[in-house]
Amino acid sequence: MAKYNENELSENISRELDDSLDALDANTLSKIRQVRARAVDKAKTSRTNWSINQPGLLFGGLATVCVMVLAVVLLINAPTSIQVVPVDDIELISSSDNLELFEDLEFYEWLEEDGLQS
Amino acid sequence: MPQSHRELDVFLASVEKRAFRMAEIATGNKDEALDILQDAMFKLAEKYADRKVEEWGPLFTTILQSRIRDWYRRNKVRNKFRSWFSNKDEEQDDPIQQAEDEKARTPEQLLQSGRRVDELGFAIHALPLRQQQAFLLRMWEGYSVEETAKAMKCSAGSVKTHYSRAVHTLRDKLEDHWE
Repeated sequence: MAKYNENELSENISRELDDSLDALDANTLSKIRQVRARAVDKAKTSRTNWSINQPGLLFGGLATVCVMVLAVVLLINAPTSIQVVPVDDIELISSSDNLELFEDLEFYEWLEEDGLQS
Repeated sequence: MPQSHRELDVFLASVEKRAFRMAEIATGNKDEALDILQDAMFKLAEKYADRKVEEWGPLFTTILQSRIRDWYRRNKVRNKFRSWFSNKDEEQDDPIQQAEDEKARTPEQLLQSGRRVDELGFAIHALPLRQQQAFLLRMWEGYSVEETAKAMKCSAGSVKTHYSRAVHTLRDKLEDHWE
């Protein structure tokens, strides 16, 4: 049968572990304190970075919004560089027969004048 | 130093020794324990310094236990790789490897020598990691089953099982320890 019940065992172990904390050597304690100091520094740095970045983020965001608004306004008001071509002109350009007509325009004028006279 | 930084400093000072000791018992190595302690403190400082002071305790415990578990896993993998790649034939031929280490002690010898504190630490270190964690959190930190389960990221049932097994083993091992 075991000598200790659960409570006795827990008390004994707990007391001895607590004692072991007081028995930590100076070198280890110094290293632990250094680790703690660095951790607190980390907290300061991370918070400082955030407070530094906050106005930066604000101005950056504002600048981005301004540029986007400007771009939209310019896009809406910009003169269209492509002129709208009337449907008649498209027909004229696309028809190969008509092009031949224009090449021989003088001949047709002469023919018309000559035909009318005769 | 602003109030919150002072509070963080006070909080870390209140938990640092226990945290270090827990990590030392788990790893069996002071330097590894310091690394784990540093990781846990840095994580709390970087990520959770803005939280309420009351939340720091459970958060720090959870981070510390996760770090210990990570170390344990990494160590296991590292040992596996070592055993795969180590050339046993060479080791057998090497006279230095063959020489008897006068300082080497068996767990039983270790248990019989040194201070009682070391004996207790060794007995807890010899437990499987989950049993160690459950036992130390419940018994030393005074956490409830639910709090322990949260810190260990497992179910309350698992905590009860691990704790019970740990108590059983330690009771047997440390029977004559306090005489």
